Amino acid sequence: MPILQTIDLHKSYRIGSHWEPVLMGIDMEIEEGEFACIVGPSGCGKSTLLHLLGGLHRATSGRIFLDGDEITALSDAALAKIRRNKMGFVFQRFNLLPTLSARGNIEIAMKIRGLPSNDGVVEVLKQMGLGEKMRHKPNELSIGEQQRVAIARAIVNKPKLLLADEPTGNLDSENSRRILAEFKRLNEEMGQTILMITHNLEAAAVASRTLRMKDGRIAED
Amino acid sequence: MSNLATANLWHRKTRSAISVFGIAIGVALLLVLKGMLVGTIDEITSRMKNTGVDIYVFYQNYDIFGGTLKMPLSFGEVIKKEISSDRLESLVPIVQDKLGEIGTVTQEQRVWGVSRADLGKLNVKLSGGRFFDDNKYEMLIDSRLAAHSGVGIGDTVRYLNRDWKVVGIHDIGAGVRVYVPFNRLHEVLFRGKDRFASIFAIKCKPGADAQQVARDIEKIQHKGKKLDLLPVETATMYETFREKAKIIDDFANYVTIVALSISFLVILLTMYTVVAERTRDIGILKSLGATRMFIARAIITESLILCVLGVGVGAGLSYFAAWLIPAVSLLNVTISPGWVLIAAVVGLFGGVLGAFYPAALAAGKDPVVALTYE
Ligand SMILES: Nc1ncnc2c1ncn2[C@@H]1O[C@H](COP(=O)(O)OP(=O)(O)OP(=O)(O)O)[C@@H](O)[C@H]1O
Ligand SMILES: [Mg+2]
Repeated sequence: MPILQTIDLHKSYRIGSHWEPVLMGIDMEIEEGEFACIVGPSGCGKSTLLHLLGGLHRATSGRIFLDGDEITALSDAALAKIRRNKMGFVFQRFNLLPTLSARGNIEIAMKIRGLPSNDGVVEVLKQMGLGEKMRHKPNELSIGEQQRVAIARAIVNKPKLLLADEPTGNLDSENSRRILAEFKRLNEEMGQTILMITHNLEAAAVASRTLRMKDGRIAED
Repeated sequence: MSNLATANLWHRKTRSAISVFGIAIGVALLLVLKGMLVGTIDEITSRMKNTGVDIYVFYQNYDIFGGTLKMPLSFGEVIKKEISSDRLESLVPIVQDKLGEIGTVTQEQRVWGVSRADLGKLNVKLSGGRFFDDNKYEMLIDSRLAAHSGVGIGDTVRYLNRDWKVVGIHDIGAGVRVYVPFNRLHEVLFRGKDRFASIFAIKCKPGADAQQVARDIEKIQHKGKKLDLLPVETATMYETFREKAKIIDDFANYVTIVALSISFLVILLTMYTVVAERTRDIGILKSLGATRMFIARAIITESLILCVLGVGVGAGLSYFAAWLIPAVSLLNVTISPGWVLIAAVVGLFGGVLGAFYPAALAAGKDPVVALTYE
């Protein structure tokens, strides 16, 4: 059984008096342990899809299954629970809470889950090469480091699915490569399932599978 | 949750400090205003008690802060006759008036005209100089008034178009701050040959029931007519005065409501700004799976911390004011712990209430909109 599955997923935005369709029937499956990426032109609806998959927005129609739960049928509170227990997010930028240190940013994710801070926090920061920067606030970290903290936070709760929306979109090629290497390592060494959005072909090459999106559909798999 | 709240507050130190101060001002206003009222009444009451007098007999009506109706001096004789001498220790007739200005003090002072021989019956004790001469325009003032006004022995005080020479300083705490000879004050205030008094100060014999004496005085009739005497026992004077000062009490309550509304608005505005400013953070928290409750609680915790600090600083300011105000003026401020508690409860309640709308706003934010907010 795939860990993530969508069936005929539609999403339209209301623009003035009419509805503008963005997603027009997305059918896709992601298997556990896969590192999949979605590519497509700007404005084709990649972020919109990711928001639906993450339960951050609601689909206009269609169904999404994550690890056996139909998330399109869940309440806001149940969606929040799925997010904290089964998902990790990394966005393009400004992922961190600016008032908390790198460590605090990770601890808050655990706190939301009702867990006390533990050695895992330090462990995951070290994994990301941030052992020396745990006490730094986001504005005291480079953008690449901030992104690594965001990844550390996304995986600290060992999510079933890691969703990333252009995680390298704001980085130079050096930092991009490093982040992509981390994703690859997480996928290969820890078996982390990842769904990453990008329009960077170099990034797409790292993934084991590429989904192309066009005109609100998955055009090629 | 508190570490996100404290980190956020610390991140915006100045704004947090201003909010704390805003709340503190409200709390301090409440405490100091109430404290001044209580302090003033406390002080007047304790001075009225320190004379050792059991009952002050006023006429028809009176005002603790000054104005007193005059009554015929002969009423004193009637009282003496009605309340037999086995219950009555002494009866001192007093003429009460107000003095608008003395030295650098412009706060109104009550003045008692009392005979030289009666000063001892009111426990007036000298700490410097001598008692006045009944026939001269002479004056006693207490040490606190002397210190504040800069007026001392040998100085003259212009009062009722006369020059009164200060001849003695008396210890604080008995009756009023300013004493002058009964005859002289009487003569200036009430021209003509009719004799009057404003107050009769009565001491009961040991073992006599002051309450009963007061009741009997109230009932006194003379030539078939009720005298309309208004005896006030020193034992219940505080309550009686509180009652008399109800208008001021009400005023204090209104100011208090205004002050607390300000605190409430301070918190509302602060937290509203906080929520707007943290829109993106709220999106992040939501993506991490934070519930509405978690986010609302974070906002309310933040406001509660501000309120707790505000109440603390406000109480501190009040105690400071309670020390400072009497040191630089003749006003007294009594901060009662009960009111500090009330201020704390109201302050915290206001804080939660003020944060409620912003918290609901935060909790209800659309995560995607919040995440794309810049
Ligand atoms: N809240 C919204 N209201 C109306 N239209 C929206 C909203 N969000 C997105 N859209 C529209 O939906 C379309 C898809 O947007 P989306 O952000 O998903 O694109 P994308 O593929 O992520 O693009 P990019 O690669 O530039 O990030 C766009 O045309 C956009 O204008
Ligand atoms: Mg996008």
